[in-house]
Amino acid sequence: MAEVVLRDVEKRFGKIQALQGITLEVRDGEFLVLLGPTGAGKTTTLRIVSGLEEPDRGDVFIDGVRMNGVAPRDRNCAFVFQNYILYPHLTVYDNLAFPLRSKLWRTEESEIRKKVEHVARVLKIEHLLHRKPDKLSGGEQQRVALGRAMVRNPRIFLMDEPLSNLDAKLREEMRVELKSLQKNLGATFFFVTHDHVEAMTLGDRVAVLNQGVLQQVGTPEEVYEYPANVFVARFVGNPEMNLLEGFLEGGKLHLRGLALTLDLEKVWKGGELPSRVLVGLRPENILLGQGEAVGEVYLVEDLGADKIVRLRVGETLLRVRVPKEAEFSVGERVPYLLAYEKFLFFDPTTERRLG
Amino acid sequence: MMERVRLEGLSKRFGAFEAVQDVTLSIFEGEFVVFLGPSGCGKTTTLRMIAGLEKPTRGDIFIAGKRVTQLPPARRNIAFVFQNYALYPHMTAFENIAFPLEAQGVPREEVQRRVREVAKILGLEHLLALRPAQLSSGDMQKVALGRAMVRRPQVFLMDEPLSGLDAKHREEMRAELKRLHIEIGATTVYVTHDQIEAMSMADRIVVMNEGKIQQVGSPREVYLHPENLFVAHFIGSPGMNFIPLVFLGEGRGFRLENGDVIRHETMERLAVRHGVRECILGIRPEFLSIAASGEIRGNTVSIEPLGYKNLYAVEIAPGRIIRVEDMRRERFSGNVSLAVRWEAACLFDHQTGQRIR
Amino acid sequence: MVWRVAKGILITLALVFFLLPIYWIVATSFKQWPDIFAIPPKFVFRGTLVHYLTLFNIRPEEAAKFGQVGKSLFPPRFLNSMIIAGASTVLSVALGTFSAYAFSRFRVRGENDLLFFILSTRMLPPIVVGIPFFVVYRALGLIDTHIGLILLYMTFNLSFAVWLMKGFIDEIPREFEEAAMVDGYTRLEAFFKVILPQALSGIAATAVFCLIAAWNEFFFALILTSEKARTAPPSIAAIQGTSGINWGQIAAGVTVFLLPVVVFTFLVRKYLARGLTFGVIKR
Repeated sequence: MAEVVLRDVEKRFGKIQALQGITLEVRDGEFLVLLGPTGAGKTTTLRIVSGLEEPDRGDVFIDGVRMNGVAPRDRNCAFVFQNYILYPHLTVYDNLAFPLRSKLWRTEESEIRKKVEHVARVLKIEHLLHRKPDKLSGGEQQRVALGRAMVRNPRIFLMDEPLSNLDAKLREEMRVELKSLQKNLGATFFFVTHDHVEAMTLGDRVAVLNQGVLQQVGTPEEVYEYPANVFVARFVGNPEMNLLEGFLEGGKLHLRGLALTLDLEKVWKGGELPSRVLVGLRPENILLGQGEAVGEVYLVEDLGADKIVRLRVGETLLRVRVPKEAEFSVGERVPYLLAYEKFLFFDPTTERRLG
Repeated sequence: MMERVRLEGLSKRFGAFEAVQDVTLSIFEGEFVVFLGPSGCGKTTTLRMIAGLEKPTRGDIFIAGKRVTQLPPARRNIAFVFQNYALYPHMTAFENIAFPLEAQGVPREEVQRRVREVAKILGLEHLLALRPAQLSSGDMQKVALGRAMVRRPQVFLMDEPLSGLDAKHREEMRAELKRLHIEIGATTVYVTHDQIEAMSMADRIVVMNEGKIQQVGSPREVYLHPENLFVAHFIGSPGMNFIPLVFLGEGRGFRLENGDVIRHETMERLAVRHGVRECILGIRPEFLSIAASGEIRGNTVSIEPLGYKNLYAVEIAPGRIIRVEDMRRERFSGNVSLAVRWEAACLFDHQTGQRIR
Repeated sequence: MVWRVAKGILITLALVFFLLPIYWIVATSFKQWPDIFAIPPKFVFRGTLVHYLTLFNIRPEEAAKFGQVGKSLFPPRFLNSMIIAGASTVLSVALGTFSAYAFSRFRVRGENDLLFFILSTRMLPPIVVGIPFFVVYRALGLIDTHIGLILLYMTFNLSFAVWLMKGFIDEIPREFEEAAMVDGYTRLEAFFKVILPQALSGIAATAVFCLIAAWNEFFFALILTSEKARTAPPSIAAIQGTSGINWGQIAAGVTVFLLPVVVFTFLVRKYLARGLTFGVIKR
């Protein structure tokens, strides 16, 4: 298997700067997820690693070897596209065999048969080998796309949102399969998605990208508990983190939106703080039913295993995660309590996290 | 409550393929009904038949008491929101929203008034002069909604309107749509394959599979009391665990795949009454917990950290992996035992897939 | 119910309107000489093959009855049509496809201008360039040569071919050849193995258009050829005898002339159906 290193990679398309100085390392045998909203530059990054695009500046290394200018066919990466890109005029068998039949690989038909059948077995698509892609379901097509990537045992799997076109349920199931597949193959997976839940559940590490700039790289827990900046804090986590404007005066923190004033030392144990801050608090760190402050229930979303309440406090709408047994009605006034020790502080201008 | 839409024995066949089979349903005024199911289950076809975009092979459709089965869409007083918004690219947002009214010959001043009203509700006022190409997908979706709302139709029909959005935007729009429904109270029929959307927004969910209705009920009902294995599996994320059991007889308990025997009086009585031997225990991950006193033994295979909770994959028999939710911060690994919250468990007949009550 | 009957009647009327001329020509080709001129027109008649036989010089002695002088020149002219139309179609489709691929996939400078320029060649009424072409061809020694007409038809059809094929190729996501390139193929290999098979319906549609255009071309065939390379259309029009126009033989000539295109279109109909609906709104 292999590691990928991107160093100071820049890429521009016409007037748009797609990537601005990306430095990222995908470790050998790692499942790295590149997470970001649409247009962040994730697909561009993947295409640069594969050789389908060349960076304007910066270097791409695979296993220590510089790959700039090397054709895609010579990089030994496999690419799984978002819409699978199965060849419609070929059967599943021929689709899977296709990479092995290229002049680059020159594999004998008997070898090809062995490899294709092995991959088909692992992905449980043996019964589909003689079918054409248009007769397959979405999930089956996805597996064939995966199989075509696996069949030549590449160093790296580059995956561009491979699960986005699947039904919600199917996506969940494929996530588990994908994760165990990666473990079994011991392969390096470079996976791109806009779905933060996917990123958290699949990634050994998560790299968050926005507008061509890398925001943070870390384990799912690190990215969740200690987001590097406001963007990461809001993008990861469902529902979105609550962000409140606060200003400091006389040793006290004033949260104007909630009409709340707290002793600074109760909530902040670090060093100096600017006079204005952004305070972040995740929805699971607010408790309803107790406390002195009161808010009004604006919306209740019962999602089965989770329940989300939007609480109106003055002009602010707080997102609160509540136990699924709790009952609330719209318009009800309920007391709430904030878990001060879970406050995260951000600088309002730089948007970086403090402390 | 008054009935706003009624479907009677609605069926649709494409050649030899039965896309929709015998759908009978009443939708009441102000209800938000969600048709939920996997791709190809017939939900979109049903919606399109209600709209008049498809002709049913059999059956009838009534809107506000009037039989509309043979009427074209324009005469049914419905509004349709498409998956890909279908906005007119050469018109501004304002003109897009105004279009249906102008097509009906509504006077200019009233058009202005109604468009601005709708724009205010949706928070689009500052975008009215822009063209679709200049709008984000979330805003485009709102314009599509606005175009539907401005007509004050009898029923809103929505075909997976959020599936084209980023995961983040989808969450926001979901809450907004729900809030919009609370404020306006319009009768809405909504189609989706995402059960989270259904759970969040629906007054009632119609679960469909292979052209047939599997169950109709409130989100609570279909979540806690699914009628069959399909509904149980489809609703809920992560999905319900299915543990095969063999009933050993009254007073003797159930045998798990790994040979262990577990006992529960109420469950056993159910099994006796129904006369079943091979059954399936359905239990959601949040109703299992890792506890020393647990009845089911297993080995942890993986942990999915979701931030505020951990989801464990536990192997309880060779090839049988179930998911367990745990809210605690500490991580478990290796061999564990799982406690079952029996009052939240369902028992299914292995042969028929139906729940045993 | 009434609507269904009305629809049926309307469709029948439309069919009659479109098919009547064709029926008439084909019928005429089998009619005995007096029947051809009969008034009121005869729809039922005793058939004869004489016009075909004289057309193909199988029974040349009959030809004199209709005032024909000498051998029928139809067979060699028909062959010329096949060669010239066939070759120019192959060339224009092939060149058009490669060109369209380049426009579709690569960032060509001044692409829109180039494409418009290519299209503009189609805007020309042929008559305007008739004389210039004659002069140039004479200078180049291309008058009355197969190559001359082939090149000409290829040029005129190229614009059509490029535009049509670009539309088809645009519809094939570029990820298809990218997938092949990542898997070890060069772009050229990917073009032949992956793009071409998917573009077949487009190629069929384009080929049909180009073939019909070249097959039916009359003006340039008339002025740029005389004997060796003359195609069927001018020669059918010139079928005259001492006793006037030999309608029977003309009808036979037209009928035979119709056949190849009809057969070709029939053979590729599977691809045509898909090809003719290109440009539909993309998802």
